[in-house]
Amino acid sequence: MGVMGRVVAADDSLQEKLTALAKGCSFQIGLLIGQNTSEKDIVVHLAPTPVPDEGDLSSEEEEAVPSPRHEANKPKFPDSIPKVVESTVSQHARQVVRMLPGGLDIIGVYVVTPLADFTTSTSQSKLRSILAATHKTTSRILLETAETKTEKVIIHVCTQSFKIVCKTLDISATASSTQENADLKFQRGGSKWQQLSYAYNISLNFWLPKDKPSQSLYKTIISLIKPWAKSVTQSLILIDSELPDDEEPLDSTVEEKPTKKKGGNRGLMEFVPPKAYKVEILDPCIPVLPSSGLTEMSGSIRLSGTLAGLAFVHSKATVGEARAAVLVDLVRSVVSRWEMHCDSLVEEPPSHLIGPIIHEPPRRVFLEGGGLPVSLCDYLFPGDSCADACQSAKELLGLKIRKEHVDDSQETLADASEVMCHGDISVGSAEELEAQGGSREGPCSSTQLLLVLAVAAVGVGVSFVSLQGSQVLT
Amino acid sequence: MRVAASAQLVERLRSQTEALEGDIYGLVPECGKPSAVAMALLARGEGQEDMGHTPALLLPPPMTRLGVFKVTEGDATCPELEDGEVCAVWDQRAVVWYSGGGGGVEVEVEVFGATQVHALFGVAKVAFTLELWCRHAARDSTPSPSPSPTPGPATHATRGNAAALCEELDTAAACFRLRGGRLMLHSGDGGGGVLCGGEAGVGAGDTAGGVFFKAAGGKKKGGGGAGGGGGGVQQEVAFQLVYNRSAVVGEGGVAAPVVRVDNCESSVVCAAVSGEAVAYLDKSGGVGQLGGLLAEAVAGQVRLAEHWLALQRGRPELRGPLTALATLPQAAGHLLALVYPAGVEEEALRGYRAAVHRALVFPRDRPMVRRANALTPAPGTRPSALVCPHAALAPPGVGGRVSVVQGGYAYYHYQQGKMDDKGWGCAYRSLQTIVSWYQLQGYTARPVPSHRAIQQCLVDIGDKPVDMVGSRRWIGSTEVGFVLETLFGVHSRFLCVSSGAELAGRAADLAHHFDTQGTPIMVGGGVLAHTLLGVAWDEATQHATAFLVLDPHYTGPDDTQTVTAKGGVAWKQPDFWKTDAFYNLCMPQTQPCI
Repeated sequence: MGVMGRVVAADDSLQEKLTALAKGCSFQIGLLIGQNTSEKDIVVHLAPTPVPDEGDLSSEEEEAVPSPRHEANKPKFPDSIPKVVESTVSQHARQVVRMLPGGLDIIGVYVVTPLADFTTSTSQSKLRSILAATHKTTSRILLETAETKTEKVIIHVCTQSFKIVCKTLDISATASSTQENADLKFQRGGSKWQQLSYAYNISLNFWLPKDKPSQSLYKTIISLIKPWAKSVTQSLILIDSELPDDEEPLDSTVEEKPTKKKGGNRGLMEFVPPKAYKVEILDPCIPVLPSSGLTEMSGSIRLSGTLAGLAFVHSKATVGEARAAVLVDLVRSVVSRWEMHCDSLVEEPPSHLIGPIIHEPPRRVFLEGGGLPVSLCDYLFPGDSCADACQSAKELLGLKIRKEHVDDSQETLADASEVMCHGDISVGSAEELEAQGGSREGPCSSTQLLLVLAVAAVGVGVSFVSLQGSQVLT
Repeated sequence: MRVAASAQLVERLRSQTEALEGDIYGLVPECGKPSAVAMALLARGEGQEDMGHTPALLLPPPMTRLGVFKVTEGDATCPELEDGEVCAVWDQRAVVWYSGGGGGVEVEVEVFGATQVHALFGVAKVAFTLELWCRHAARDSTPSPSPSPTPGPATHATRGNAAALCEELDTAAACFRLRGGRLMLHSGDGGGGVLCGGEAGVGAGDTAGGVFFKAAGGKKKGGGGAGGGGGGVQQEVAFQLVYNRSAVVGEGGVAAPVVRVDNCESSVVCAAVSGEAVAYLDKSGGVGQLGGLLAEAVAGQVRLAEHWLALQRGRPELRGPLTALATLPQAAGHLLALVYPAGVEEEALRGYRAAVHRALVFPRDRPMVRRANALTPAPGTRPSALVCPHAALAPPGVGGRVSVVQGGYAYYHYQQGKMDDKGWGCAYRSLQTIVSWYQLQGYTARPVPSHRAIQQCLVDIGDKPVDMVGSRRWIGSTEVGFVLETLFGVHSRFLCVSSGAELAGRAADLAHHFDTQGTPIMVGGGVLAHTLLGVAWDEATQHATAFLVLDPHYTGPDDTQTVTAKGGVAWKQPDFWKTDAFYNLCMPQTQPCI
C-alpha cells in the first residue's frame, strides 16, 4: 500500500447498488453526486449518463456539441470507456448540476466495466478528458464566483470480479495525470446532513448602452448578471437570525456524541432527517453599475422576483462552508433558469418591439425521497407539472420520485401583468405605457387580457410574452 | 413646557441685524426633560432657489420643526403661533421666547451647551453605497393635442429610482449592521426592529444609550462603538447599510424571477452615491426604533443625491459619483447632512455652499459645509492623533474671563507616527497641531505635513539650505509662519515679548485672538516651543491668571486620560513662562471664506 489517499465516504446502499450494476450490465458510466469537504469527499448518489435525445442540445454557441447524429456509425450506447463521447457526459452534467441544491456537486464519475477496459491508457486519458469536460461545464454556471474542486473521484466496479476501486485524479493543467488511490469507506446510514433554506428577492436593473454591439439574449443577460454574482460572494448570511463567524461550526452541538439507543432497530436504518436552518442573505450593496455620467441607452433589462433556495452541508460544516454552499446555490439557480429559458427559446425574440417583453424562466421545485438523504431540485416551465420533474429525475438521475414528493409551492409563477404594470422600480411604468400606447382607459386590464391570450396561444415551450402597445386592443 | 435652545442658535440669532423670519428646528427628547431642544434656524425664502432643494433636507433626522423665529428691529411682539409651537424673537435687545397658541406666552428658555446636548443625544452614522439613475425617454411622450397653458412639471418625462430606493429603505429589507458587531437592526414593522440581537441579545426595548454607550469612560475608543464615556463628549455609533434579500417584503406570494426587456431608447444619468448618513440618537429611546431612523437618514441623503443627479444631466462638469457626508460645525452646534459631486473642486461648489449658509443663518466667514468639514474623514486622510484633549479638563479654577481655541484640533506631540523627534521636533508638532485645526474646520483638505515636508518647504522658499531636509534642526515661530503661509495660505500675526511676565500682561490680546480667530497659537522664542490653546484673565488687571497649554514634548499614548494625567494639556500658572526668556508667538489668522 502506498500513501494513504483521500477518504471517500458513501452509504452502504451504494455498495449494493454498484455490485448490482456490475452483475447486471456490461458497461455503464455515470456521475458521482456528493460533497467535497476538507476532510473527505462524500458520495450521495450515482446518476447514470443517458444517451442524449437528438433534440436535447444546448443553445450555447460556445459549447460546440458534436452531435451524435453526425456520427452515425457510433453505437447508441457505448460499450467501453474509449467509446464514450465526452460531451455526452458533460451535457448530462450540465443538466444534472441544475438539479443540485447548494453544497452538492458532481464530484466525479463512476464506471462499470471490466478491469481490462478500465486500465488501458486510452481509457485513462479518456476518463481524464471526460472529467475535464464535466468540470468545465459545471464550473461555468458559477460565473467565476466560486472554485470547483479539481480533484475528482473515480469509482470503478469490475463487471467480472465485482471489485470496487476508488481513485482520485486532479484534472487541473498543472497536476500530474496519474490517478491516486483513494480510501472508499461505506458507512451504514451514510453521512448526516444539515439543510439550509432561504428565499432571495432579486431585483436587478440593467441598461443596454446604445454603442454596444447587440448579443444574443443569453449572452447579454449572463454578462449583466456577472457583476451581481460577484457581489453576491460578499454577502453576509444570518442563520436562524444570528450572525455567526465563518469559523464557527454551523451546528454548535456537534461536539456532543449522540447517545446510542439501546436495543436498536437494526435492519432498516432510517435516514435521520437533516437538521434544518433558516438562512437570510444580506447584501452589502456593492455597486454594480459600470459607469456614471450620461449614457445613451437602447433599452433596459430588469430581472426581478423571489427565488427559493436550498443547500446542504455535512454535519461538521462550519458557518463559512454553509455560507459558500448557500451562495453557490443562489448563483447557480439564477443562471440555471436563464440557461434553461434560453435553451427553450425557438428563436430570439424580436428586438424591434417597443413594448416590453416579459421572459418567464422556469420556476424552481424541490424533490424529496428517492432514497436520498438530501433533496434535489428541478425547474418547471409554465405549463409543466410536477410529473415532469419526476420524469427528469428518472431520466437524468435514475431516481424514482413520487409526484407527491415534488414541492412546487416554494415558488409560484409570476403574474406577468403585474410585472408589466407595476411601476415601482421598473424602468417603465403603467403611465408610461399609457403614454406610448395612447390608451386611456385601464391599460392594466387590457394588458392582462393580452397576456392570458398570449400564454394560452403559445402553450408550453415559449415562455416570453410581449406587449406591443395596447392600441391593438382598443 | 420646558424648552432648551443650543448656545449656538442663540448666538446666531443675536448676530442678526436685519429683519429675518423662518423656522426653528430641533430635537424632541424621549425623556421629556426638556421637552424640546431648539438647534437650527431655517430662514424662510433664503437659499432654496440656489440650492434647488428644500433646505430642511440638510437637517438629519429626527430633527423636526419646533416653531418659528423672527429678527426685528425693535419689535418683540409674538407672531401667531400654533399650539405647541415655540417662537424666538430677537429685537436687537434680547432674545424673547414664546410658546403655544393664541397670543403666545412668554417662556423661559434654558440655553444648552454642547455638553448638555451630548448628554441627551449621541450620533448614529450609517455608511452606505447606493446607485441612482434617472432617465429621459428619447421618444417623447405623446405630443399633447393642444398646447397646454402651463408646461408640465419638469419631471414628467424623467424617471429615476430615487423614490423606489426611499420606499425600499422603509421596509424590513433595509438593515443596519453595527460596525464590528453582530447587532443588526431593520427598518420594517413601521419604524424598525432588531433583526439580530448579537452577542448581548439586544432587544427592541433596550435603550440606545444603554446598548451603545454603556462602556466606561476609561475604555479605549472603539472603531465603531462608543467613543469615550459620558463626560460631555459627543458619543458616536457606526452602522453599515445592508439589504436583507430574504426579507418578506410586501404582501402576496413569492413569484419566481422574471426578466423584462424594454427596447425603449433613452438617455440615462447614473451615479453611485456613497458615504455617510447621520441621525441623532436619543439615548433614552428604544433600540427598536433606531432602524427606522437610520433608514430615514439614508433616504434624506438619497433625496439630496437625486437633486445633484438632476443637475448632472445638464451640467457635464458635475457628473460622476456623489459623496454623502455629514458635518458638525462648531458655529452650527448641530449636524448637517450633505451630498456633493465627488470629483468637483470646492471652488466650483461655492455658490451652493453660500446658499446653505444663507438658508441656515450661518456666519458667512468660515467653512462649515465643505467636504473638508466632514464628520468622518475618508480613511487615511486624517491621522489618529487625539482631538481636543482639553475638553476633558476642569475649568482653570481661577477667576476671570476664559477664552479658548474654537473648534477642533488634533494633539501632535513627540514620537508620534514612528517619528522619533524627541529633543528637536516640538515646533514641528506645534505647527502640525495648527494645521490640524485648519483641516478640522474645513479650511484645507491638504494633509498635515510631515517633518520632512516642513523642512522641504523651508528649503523651497529659500529660507533654509538644502541640507535642512532630513536634519534634526529646530525651527521657530517665524518658520512656522512661513510654512503656514506657503503651504496653506494662512497669514499669521506675531507677538514678541521679552519675558514671561510680559506675556501675562498681553492677556487681552491673546483673548482677542481666541475670540476672533480661534486658532491654536505656537509659542516659540528663547526656549522650548509650546502650543497655546487658551487664556484666563482678569479684565480689571488685564493680566492672565492661567494659560491653557498643549505640550508638544509629551511622550505617551494618545488617550485623553493619560494625556491629561501626565500634563500633556493643562491649565498653567502665569509663572509657567520663564521671566528671563523672550517669547515669540505665531498667531495664525483666518480669512473669511465659506
